[in-house]
Amino acid sequence: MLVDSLEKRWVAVIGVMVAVMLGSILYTAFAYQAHPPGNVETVDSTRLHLTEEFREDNLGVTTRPDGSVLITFVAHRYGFTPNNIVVPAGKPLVFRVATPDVLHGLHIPGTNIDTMVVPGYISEVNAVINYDEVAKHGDLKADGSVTVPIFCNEFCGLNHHFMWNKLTVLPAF
Amino acid sequence: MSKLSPEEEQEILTGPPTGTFALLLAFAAVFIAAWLLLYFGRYMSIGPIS
Repeated sequence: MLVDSLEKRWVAVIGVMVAVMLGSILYTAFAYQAHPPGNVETVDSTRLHLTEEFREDNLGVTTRPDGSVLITFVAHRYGFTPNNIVVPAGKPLVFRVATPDVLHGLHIPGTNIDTMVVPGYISEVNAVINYDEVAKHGDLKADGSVTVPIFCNEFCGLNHHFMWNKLTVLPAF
Repeated sequence: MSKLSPEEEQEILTGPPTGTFALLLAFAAVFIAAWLLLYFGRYMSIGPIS
């Protein structure tokens, strides 16, 4: 097969471009565990409030023995429970969210946290919040904490646009 | 407009397309730089997720 030398150069240059992009993605995947959230865990949405994890008393922020912070909350029409979530910046965070009703979304500006909350499933996102980036998108308080909104970004009903919550990020120590 | 001699015209028509290749290299450089800037500068800098 005759391949023109210019075509060979095109192929080589495009090969280098693809190698750089794939190499970057693979490097960050292995070095920083950066990859799309892939947790598949089912839950009975109709009995969500009766489960141990998503019972109202057990929702909120807890620190795990390994130092990571677990945030458990429920997305429902039209809000998130609990109301104001306080987390530290620079620490590994694990968000676990479920819904008792319809499809919702979870988006936190200034972070890469963005996931769907599907009825019947538990959405889990592992993240580390960069304080400086969040400070650009939220309200900076005198004590150094920053409050950013948590939005639902999947249309969930007539009052979808009222569905939001507060996330307060404390500066890293 | 400069007039090319038949030899010069022949050289251009039969020679390698260096201009096209230079354009390709410039495109590749700009594309890769922009992609790396977005990936590491905007995406990874605000905290990786998994």
